[in-house]
Amino acid sequence: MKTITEDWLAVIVAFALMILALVGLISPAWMKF
Amino acid sequence: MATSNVKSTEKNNDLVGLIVGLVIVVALAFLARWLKGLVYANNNVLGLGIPGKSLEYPLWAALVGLVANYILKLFKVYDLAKPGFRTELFLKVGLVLLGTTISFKVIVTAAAGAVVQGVIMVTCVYFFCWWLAGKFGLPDTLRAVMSTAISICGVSAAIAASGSVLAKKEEITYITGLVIVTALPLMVIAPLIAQAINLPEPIAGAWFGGNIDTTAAVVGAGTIYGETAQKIASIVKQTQNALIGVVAFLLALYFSTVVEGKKEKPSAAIIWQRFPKFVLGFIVASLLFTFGLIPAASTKEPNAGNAIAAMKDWAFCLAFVSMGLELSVKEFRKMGWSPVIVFLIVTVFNTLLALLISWLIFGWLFPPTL
Repeated sequence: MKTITEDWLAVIVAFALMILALVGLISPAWMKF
Repeated sequence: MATSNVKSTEKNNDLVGLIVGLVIVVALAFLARWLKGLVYANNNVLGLGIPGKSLEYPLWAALVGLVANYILKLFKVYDLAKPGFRTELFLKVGLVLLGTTISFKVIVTAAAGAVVQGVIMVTCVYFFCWWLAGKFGLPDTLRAVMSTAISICGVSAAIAASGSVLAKKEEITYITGLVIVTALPLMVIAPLIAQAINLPEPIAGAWFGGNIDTTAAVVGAGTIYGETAQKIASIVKQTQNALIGVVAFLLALYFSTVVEGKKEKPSAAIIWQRFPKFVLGFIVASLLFTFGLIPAASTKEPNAGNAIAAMKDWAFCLAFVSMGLELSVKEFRKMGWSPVIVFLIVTVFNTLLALLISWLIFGWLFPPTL
């Protein structure tokens, strides 16, 4: 089985987070740093 | 049957370790954020005259990571939790998210200067380190790994080079250890020097990007110095990182034909294999932002842009905590002090040359459009 590299994993995680924020499932208030 | 049972137990242990490690990293990131908030409004931290605003979160994150590193090793649970300490992964997620805050025009203008700076820096530092390490009598494989690590981007470059020259495992661990040990103090010292000599943010960012070995510490130094410095430092470092593939190919070519005397040449496909793919994610994220598909963070009414920008800070914070957690100095005793001396001399050379080159390129030849 082909495993995913860390680089692509980072890209997938980052874009998943972006999409969740764009559709409103991640609120800016929760993420406040 | 017995082998498959052993493998399955190892997998389960790795999964448990990953979860335990991640929980520790996240808890420490919250602690770092709390510590930052605690001193932020204080203008005289510990009565030493240090303004709280200058103690940005990378410092707290690396510090709590270092303390936890010591405690976990003391209680012998470090190895169990280690799979969750993923500096590179958290950092790459943060860098892709950072792309959504930078206009593509800035990337193009800064990258032009970064390519020129990268080529000059990588060539000069690589050959200086190779020559000096030769004078100190270090083996060729260690020379190659060290030269690539200092001239390009620390840990991932060391790993890429070691694959090309078939370096020993202990040489890679040794160099990656050295890289992290020197990058952490540089992350704190470089912004202080930049402040002392009143360096404008774009030049300071370019300097951090060209000078500090690990991408995590580059982003950390940029974050400590200012928002623009963070952006330019990240662009410069990622441009430099993109050169890994070319250097890995040239090294493989040199070692297989000159050192080992083989007739067959390595394939140029290595250039793409070693290319840091997350840089593509960073560029796409910037394009989405530039074409208005991702909103800019708003100060009036928080939107998705604010959520993404905050997630970027969290990802970087997790990376800085992991950086403190991953620090190890035990490999140094095994190899003696000669490589340490070479590494430190080249680091000083790299720092001074990067300051001169970044000032020339980002202050004069290619000032970035911001």
